[in-house]
Amino acid sequence: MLKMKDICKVYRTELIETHALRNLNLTVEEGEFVAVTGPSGSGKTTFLNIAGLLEQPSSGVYELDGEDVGSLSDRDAAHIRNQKVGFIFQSFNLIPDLNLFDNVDVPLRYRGWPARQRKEAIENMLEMVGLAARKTYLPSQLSGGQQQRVAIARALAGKPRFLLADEPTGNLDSLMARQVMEMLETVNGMGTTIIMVTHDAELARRAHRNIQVLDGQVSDLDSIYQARVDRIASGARGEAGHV
Amino acid sequence: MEIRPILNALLRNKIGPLLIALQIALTLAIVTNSAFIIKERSDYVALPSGLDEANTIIAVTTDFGINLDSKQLLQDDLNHINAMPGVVAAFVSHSIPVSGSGNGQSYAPERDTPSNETISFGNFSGDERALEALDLELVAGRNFRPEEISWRTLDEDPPRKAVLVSQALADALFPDKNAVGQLVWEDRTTPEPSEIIGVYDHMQNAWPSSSFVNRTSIQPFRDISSQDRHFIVRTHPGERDQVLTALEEYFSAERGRMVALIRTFEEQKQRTYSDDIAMVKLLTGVVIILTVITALGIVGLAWFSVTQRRKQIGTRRALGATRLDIMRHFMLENWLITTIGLVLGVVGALALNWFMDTQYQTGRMPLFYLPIGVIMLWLLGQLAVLAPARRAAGIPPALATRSV
Amino acid sequence: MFSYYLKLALKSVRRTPILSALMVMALGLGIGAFMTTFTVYYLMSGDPIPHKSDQLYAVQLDNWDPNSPPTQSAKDIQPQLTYVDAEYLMHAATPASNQAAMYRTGAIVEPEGDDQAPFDGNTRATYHSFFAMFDVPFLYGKPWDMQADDRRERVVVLSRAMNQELFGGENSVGRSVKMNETAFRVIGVMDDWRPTPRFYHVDSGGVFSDAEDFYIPLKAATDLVLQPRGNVNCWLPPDGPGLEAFLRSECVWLQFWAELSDEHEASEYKQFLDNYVRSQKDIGRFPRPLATFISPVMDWLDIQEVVSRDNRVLVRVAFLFLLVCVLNTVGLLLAKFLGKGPEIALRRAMGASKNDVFSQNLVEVCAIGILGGVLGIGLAWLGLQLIEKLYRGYQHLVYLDGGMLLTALALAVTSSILAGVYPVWRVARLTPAGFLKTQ
Repeated sequence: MLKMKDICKVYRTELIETHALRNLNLTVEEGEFVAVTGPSGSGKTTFLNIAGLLEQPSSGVYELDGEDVGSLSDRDAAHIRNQKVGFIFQSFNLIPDLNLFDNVDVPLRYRGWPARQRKEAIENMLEMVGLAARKTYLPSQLSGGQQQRVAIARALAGKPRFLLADEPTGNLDSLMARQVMEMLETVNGMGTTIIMVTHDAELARRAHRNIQVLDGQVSDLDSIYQARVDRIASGARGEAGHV
Repeated sequence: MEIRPILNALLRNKIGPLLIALQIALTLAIVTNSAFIIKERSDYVALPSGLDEANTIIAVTTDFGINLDSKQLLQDDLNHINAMPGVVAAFVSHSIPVSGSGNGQSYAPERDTPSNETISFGNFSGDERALEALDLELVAGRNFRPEEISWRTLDEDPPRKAVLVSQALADALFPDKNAVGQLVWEDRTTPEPSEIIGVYDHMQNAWPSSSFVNRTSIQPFRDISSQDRHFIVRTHPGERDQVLTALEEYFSAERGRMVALIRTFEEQKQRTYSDDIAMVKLLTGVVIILTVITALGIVGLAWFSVTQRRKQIGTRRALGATRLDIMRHFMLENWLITTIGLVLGVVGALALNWFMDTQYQTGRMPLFYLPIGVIMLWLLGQLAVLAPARRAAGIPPALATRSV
Repeated sequence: MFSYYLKLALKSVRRTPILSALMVMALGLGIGAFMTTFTVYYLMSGDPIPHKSDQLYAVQLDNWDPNSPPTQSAKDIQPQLTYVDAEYLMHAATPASNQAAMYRTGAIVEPEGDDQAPFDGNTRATYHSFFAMFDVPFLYGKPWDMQADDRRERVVVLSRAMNQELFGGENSVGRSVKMNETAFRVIGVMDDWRPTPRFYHVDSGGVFSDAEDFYIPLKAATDLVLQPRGNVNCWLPPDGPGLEAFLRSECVWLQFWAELSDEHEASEYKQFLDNYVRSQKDIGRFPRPLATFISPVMDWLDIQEVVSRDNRVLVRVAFLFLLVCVLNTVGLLLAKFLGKGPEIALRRAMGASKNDVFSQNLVEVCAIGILGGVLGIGLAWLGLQLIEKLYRGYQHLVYLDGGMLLTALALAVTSSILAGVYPVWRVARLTPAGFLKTQ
């Protein structure tokens, strides 16, 4: 699904060069739920931006679905983001003056679907996150947890196969955080690959696999990974069977 | 509060401040040049005509009845109007000062003076009541005597033996001597010269924009060679409007003539100067609206810049900056931008003035307009930035630690 | 997608109502001021008779005072002719296909009914060729002919408006109009005719007011001693009182026009004028060096400075004013769009390309531009009303035709796009990553 090889990202200003990522190597398989942890400043966000095609690596190879996406034009990158990638953010990033329906509509508009198909998809997604009745509400009328559910609906409305979550529970209390986490697990169970950046160790433990970014490099936490992959992989397959 | 860090920040974030600076520069250029034109024109409009402007009425009537005895009618008119209550004096001329339409001639102190050396002036016919009706002071010599007044008809143009001239015309004709008693020649073809019998202080001719606006003469005749009579009626203070109504009524009684116009002198002056008055009003409007727009632009951008820097401001507050420090920061920033704009603007103002003067002869703007404009725009900038700066000062230091 | 962008633009305008209003107002005021002055300028400098303005020539002969400064160009000499010269040219076999001498005058008109008071009728005294030369359209009847000129007939052509006033708009040909207590027979009624500016007589004042209401043969007018209402300039006074002396004097007071169909005819005509002046020099007239000028309409309007300097100054000032308004809008748009950074970043993450973002914001800029343009047109309309109030005799200058409305709208959209292109470009270029983290 996702394959990064020797990815480097260097930020240059007049005075200094910052190496945000150095020779990062990572492979994520289809259907995996990967948690990324690491201290702040370690390069987590840069990693996520590159994975989501918001930024391009300075060097190295990035393949998504077998396609080299490391140096696409702006238009092609936007196209892939729109087709294959969904984003969830710590601060939800809903557009404040669009109602829930219109917020979920945003990626679909760029997808160019006809109005009826968009409407159906939006209503299904809002149904799924349990907010169908409030589709004309503005984000400010919702609680944080509800807002994040809308954000999830928005991220998934276009049926992306790859979901990037940046501290999705960071601004939520523990109850709501658990609800959101459960929702992500459900989504993952339906076959969507998820990469989640978090610094909450407990959440990270619920993923299939934990990787840590340190000084711009990935250290796979192998032991944990091995132990967990056997246990969860079968469960995931089982759930996939239901769909 | 040092200037250098602010200046550095400005230079890093070039485009926004540059826009404001350019706006200020253009505003200074437009405002100073407009103010200059406004001042020139207002001064021009305010030049005294010499008449009792607030209490004077002018009327033009046209005789058309074939059986009308124009001479008798005019005599009756003058007698009647001079006897009307509220009237100080009235006479009939063949043109009216500051009306834009009149009669021009030239005098020379010697016979056979080449025509390019003669002195042009505005010519008015009148009688012994003219000086009083026009509110002119006799500076030297004497007024007309009733028997000196003649009639000019279609068939006869009587010689003007005795004339009154304005001080300006007297000075132009006889710079070194007393004009009273001197002879003047109208042109080579007139057989006889006229004698200056008196000099009055000041009266403008019919064309305020002419180069000889202050050179006028009054000649002793009543003109019935054309159909039109130009009445000039001076009233006692406060009685002008009643007299005007009474005059309208009086003129309309005679069926064989019609009133072409009857209006106050003030109204006539407004009409004659209407282009200049319009220019003053339009440019004043431009200056006011421009100032408001520039001020609103400064407010808008400063407001935005405060919003954008909320966190930074909170941090500064957390680090010990007082409210006053924050306000001073924004005021100083604005002052710097404005000053850069004003430097550009001074150059722009001079360039615009040069362009306007060479293209449209608007005249050279005196330099004192620039410092006045600069000070006003400094103040404008500071006033405009006051509200955003106060808002910035109101940002709580706790913002620094909040992530949202 | 366009309708989606439009919806977003309206939402965005509503989110920042004060900022948006400020931009619309700035653009509107700038455009309003510029359009007002430019409309006046455009109409002042328009071609009053487009299909033949290059064939109609104003005629000047330098009969002036030998002591006045030398003549270098058509600007230096009198714009009018003496009666003697005008009469000679009217009756000479010149190369011109049409010629007409004319002057403005006035007569007291007494309408038939007792209910209408006598009034001063704005009159032009001229020759029959005036109407053919200037392509004057006729509603009823026709112009008088050459015989009428020669026989000094008392006939009159009325303007359409005057025919409406005097005869209720009926065909009044054959009816009688009393002018200065003399009966004139109506021979024709003009259709609407408003050359703007009124090029054939560009005396100070009145160049932009209505054409005259009464047109009568010039000889009939002098018979009634109808005096010129326009500039009369004499370097030598008439040699006596009365009309005869005035007519044979060196006073200039007649406008004179010739229709010359091509360059060749024009040069022949000029030659003719030169020969005439030379022959007059032999009898002691024209004491100055030979100078004659023929100027086609548009050159003539330029020579006579029909567009006032004030108006030119105002157009320049208004243009600079518009520039300030555009700069103002650039600043405000920049502020506004940079404030939209997070939303733009989010859209980019959701799959919007730079082009999508660019288009979306461009639609918003255009929407503001169109609103500003509409406001500007409204303000220009008000501005023109104001101009009409402030200036006398501008009644033909104060309308916005379809062309000017389109120009205003195009100007509005162009200015707003000019104002918006940098902010829009800047915003599209924002790297989305920076805004998504913790906002």
